[in-house]
Amino acid sequence: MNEQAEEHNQSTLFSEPRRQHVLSVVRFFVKNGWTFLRSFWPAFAGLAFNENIRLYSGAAIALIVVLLSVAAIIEHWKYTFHIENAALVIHRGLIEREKLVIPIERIQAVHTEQSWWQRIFGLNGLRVDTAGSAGAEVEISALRTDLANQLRHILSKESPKTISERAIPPLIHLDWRMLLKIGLTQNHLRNAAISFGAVLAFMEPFEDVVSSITDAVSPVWKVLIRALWVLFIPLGILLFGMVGVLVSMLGAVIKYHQFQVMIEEGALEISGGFFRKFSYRIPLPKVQMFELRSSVLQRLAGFESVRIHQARTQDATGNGGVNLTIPGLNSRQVQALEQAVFAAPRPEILSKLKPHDFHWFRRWLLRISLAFPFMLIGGFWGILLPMVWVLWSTWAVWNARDRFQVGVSASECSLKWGWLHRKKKLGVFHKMQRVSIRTNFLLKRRGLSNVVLHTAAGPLFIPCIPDEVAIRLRDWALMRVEQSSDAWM
Amino acid sequence: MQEDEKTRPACYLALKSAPVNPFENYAVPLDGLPEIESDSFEGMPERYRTMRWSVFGLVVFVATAVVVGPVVWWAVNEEDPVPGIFWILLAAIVLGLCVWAIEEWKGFSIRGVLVRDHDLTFRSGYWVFEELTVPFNRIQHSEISQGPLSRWFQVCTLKLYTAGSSGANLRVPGMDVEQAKRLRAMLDERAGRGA
Repeated sequence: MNEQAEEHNQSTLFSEPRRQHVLSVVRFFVKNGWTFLRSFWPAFAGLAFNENIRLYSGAAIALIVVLLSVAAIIEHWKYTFHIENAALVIHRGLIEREKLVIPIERIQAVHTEQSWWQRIFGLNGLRVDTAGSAGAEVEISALRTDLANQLRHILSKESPKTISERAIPPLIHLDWRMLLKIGLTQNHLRNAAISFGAVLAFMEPFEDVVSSITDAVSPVWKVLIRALWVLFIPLGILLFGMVGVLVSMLGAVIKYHQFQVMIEEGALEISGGFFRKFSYRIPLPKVQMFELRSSVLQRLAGFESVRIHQARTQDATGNGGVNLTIPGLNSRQVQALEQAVFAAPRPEILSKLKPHDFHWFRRWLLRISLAFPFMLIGGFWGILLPMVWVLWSTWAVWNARDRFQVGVSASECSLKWGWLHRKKKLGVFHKMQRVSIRTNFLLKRRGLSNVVLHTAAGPLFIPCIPDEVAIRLRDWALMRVEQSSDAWM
Repeated sequence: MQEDEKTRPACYLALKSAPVNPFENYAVPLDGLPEIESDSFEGMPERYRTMRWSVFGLVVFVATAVVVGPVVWWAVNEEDPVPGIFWILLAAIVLGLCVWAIEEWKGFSIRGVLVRDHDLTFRSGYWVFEELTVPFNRIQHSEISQGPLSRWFQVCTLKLYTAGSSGANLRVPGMDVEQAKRLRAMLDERAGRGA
């Protein structure tokens, strides 16, 4: 009885068009402001240089701020949402009115997010992912937390329970020690390079300040620095490394604070975050592909990371379609995750395929051809560098050849490759969207083909296998797709 | 029996010994796994060949008018030698056109469509061959498009879209218009049945 009343209560809660919390104005303002800045940044750059423009800049900025504020208020006013006939209906639009109807059936996933300013006011952001097509993502940026949770429950058809009420322990929970490890095993080199790049970019406007500091340094010191600059190289490298590690650690903590993964009611639930708390929920049938990655450092620390791929548009990698990364998994957890997302018990791998050596020969040729530019240097280095490169390439290709493996089971296909950076992709035959056999005149003569199994989240590419094996694999995949009535989306 | 199996490809053996899962009791005779037979493909109409050759002819004409002609004219009539870069450009163009011509000449007969009970396969390409199959139960929507040139030649492009990619996933250019419409009607009917 109580449940019924609650259900009724829920359905009436969103039956009338309603607006977001007033503070969504702030969100609209920031969003529009950012778009504005990004599209007119050359004008702002000009502002910094031209005296005449600078005279008017105060007035111009005031005008822009006023305009943006008015736009944000109107946008907030015009943005309404409600639930009607099992569909989320959204009216929005500043100048052009837009009505969006998203059947609840078609909703891929509903995520909640909470950044620091939303946390202060007890608000929550809600993001609705719909299948495949680009730009079909909807964001409701400011809702009272209880309303946001209820709306999420309705849209994702889960039972309204809070995480603490749940009895099942999380599959993965990252504690501080793990977080530390994840931070330590990231790509410090890249992080350091990015941060130094950022520092340099931001330094430019403050060049005057920097030069005034360098002017203040006494001439004696200057002479000393000039004479002993070689000593600063190791110091610089140390600093570079330290910045890299620090940035990696900070990044890991901010991103994966209180990170946990749960599997319940046929959905994968991922939550965490420091400044911006997030909670993603993906129904298991909607997981299209599974990708394991590990670097040398990560393997030394004994873990890998998993990326969960959902259906997405292929050109919109990164923005839009959510590719979720779960870091810091040991092999037992990986297996548990695989079992939960795909089949348990794991199907036996019946056939292991490897690309023909011609594939590796081609690879090797391509890699060593990169040595030619080095030869142009001439002299001692012109001989040494190409030789080192060729040896390294041969070694790398040889190892890659060893590691590459396609595992075919009755229901799944997995691809393992990479030597230092190892990757594994796992897809289920019945979720394939299309299958193709590709070959070219060089491969055809050798009786070889590539097979491409396309999932809704990208392809599994199996290179250079014998024609008849390729055809078998293709026919098997097609048979699984065409016979299957299992949910794939 | 043992020896017979050794000669067969590894994948075949693997699939033959697939374990039977009690909940997915497929009664699939693996020897009779439906195959895509290469001789059952239906070729494109002859007018489409004409259309492709006329496009090729047009490009040859333009290339001749813009690059090949002037370079040859220079070499014959002017005192100064033609700069080397032009010869390289000329060679690249001639080579490119040759590759294209061979593609058209040898590749047209490869182009073809095969419609089976549950899927559609399109194959094409001499230099780079592709045989792409889209199962009907994965098609999101379909489209028939026709530009001015294809309207003249009464052919059209059938586009099939599946999930997870922005462009058309299967493009069949040069289809007979009537045929494409019939095919689409069949697809719609299947979609209606939820097949």
